[in-house]
Amino acid sequence: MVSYNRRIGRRRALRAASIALRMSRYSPFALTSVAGILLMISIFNPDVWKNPRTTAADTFSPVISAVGAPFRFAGETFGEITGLGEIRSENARLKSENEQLKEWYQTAMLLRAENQSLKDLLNVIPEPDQSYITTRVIGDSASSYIRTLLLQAGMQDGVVEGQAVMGGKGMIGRVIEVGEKASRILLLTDINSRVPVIIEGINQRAILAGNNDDILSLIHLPPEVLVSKGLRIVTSGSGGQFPAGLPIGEITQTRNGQIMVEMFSDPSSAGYVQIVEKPMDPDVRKSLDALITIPERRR
Amino acid sequence: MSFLNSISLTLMKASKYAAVYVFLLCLLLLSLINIPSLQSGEIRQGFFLIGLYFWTIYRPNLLPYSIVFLLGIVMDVLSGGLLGLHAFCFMVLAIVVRGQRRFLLGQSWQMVWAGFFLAVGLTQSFQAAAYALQSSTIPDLKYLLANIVLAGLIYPLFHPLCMAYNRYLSE
Repeated sequence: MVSYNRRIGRRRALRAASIALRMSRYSPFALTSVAGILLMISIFNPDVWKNPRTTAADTFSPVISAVGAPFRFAGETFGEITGLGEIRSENARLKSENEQLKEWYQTAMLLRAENQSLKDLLNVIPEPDQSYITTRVIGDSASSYIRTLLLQAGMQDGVVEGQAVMGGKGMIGRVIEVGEKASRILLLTDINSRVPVIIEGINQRAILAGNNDDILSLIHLPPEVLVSKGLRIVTSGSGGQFPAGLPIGEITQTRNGQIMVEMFSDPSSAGYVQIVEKPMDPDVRKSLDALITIPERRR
Repeated sequence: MSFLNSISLTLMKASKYAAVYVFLLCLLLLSLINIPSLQSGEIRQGFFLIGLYFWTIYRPNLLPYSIVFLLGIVMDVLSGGLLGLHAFCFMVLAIVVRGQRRFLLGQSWQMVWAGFFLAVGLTQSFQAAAYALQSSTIPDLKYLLANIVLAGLIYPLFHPLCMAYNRYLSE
């Protein structure tokens, strides 16, 4: 009886081992298939995994920030050392530029006063004031085929999906995912990016499309429209997604009959960015301001 | 006393092997870090592949397929790209490299380096194809080539370090 039980036990162990061996043999293909299925789902419906992705970005953002700190420090120090030689020539250039800007300042003040008086005459309802959230860029997509940046600010800092994001000189993207402490932005250079814009000077509306390149292209532009190099491209504000008039870039060239736009701000060199709060109803803003200031007064 | 000795020896051994995982995780995070003033660009894409490729050849028991899959998913989630893409690429890479392991082990480091170019080419082509399918556009080949060349060029910087650590693990 004992030997029979032993034989049964041995047979069971052998069967379990053979199943484990078979599973380990097929596990790479099973895991590859799982990855393939996940990939197919993401290709046809990218928003399915939005929530787990946001949670993961939230969790890992302090780690990414901490790992990146010494590299950022090294990069900044290296930049400062190599930049010392350029400072003298830069100083001379800035001095002459400053003289020119002083003249421009006087002109701007005159135009501002004139603009204000004309607005008063016409009873123009003033645009709500824009406010910004300045934050650090901590990560990116690590791919040439998708252009996104990870920011160290989230819902608790007032970031909302769809807000425009500015670099040093102009708009660089928009918020697409928001977590508690981190958020992700889609850059204007990404192939999936489309922004309604207006060509300053000729007042022509168009759509600015990214193509995974540093240069953007203008689409949905009537063929009879004549554009010239150097015309500025700003957001049109159509659809209410972004405030109107945010600078983006200027027309630089025509490639295969398509008008190309160079951005004012290079997203790849952005260390800090500014998130533009969405334009809001002035009355709602006033009541919000009142709510914020009441507890402060009580203190 | 001998019991304590055996525990400390086991811990030392475990920490030696754990360092490989820490190294891999650092490479993965390095691929995602934004360093604006260094203009790192496409060069970072090969960081994690270097670790994966090297340890799959020299210590495959340290990188079971489940770990490779998991690291791929972590990379996908953090990069904000298509979920499953890196996991798929890493799994294919691990399967192919393990299949050629015996051949690669007997070769000079230059041959292993040449193999790395093929490995990067394979993963980058998969990525280009996936994004082409998603956006219904043909990807720019210059980026594909730049990624392969740049990732391949940094491999010799990491190979001696990994090789030295591999020898240390054998001691």
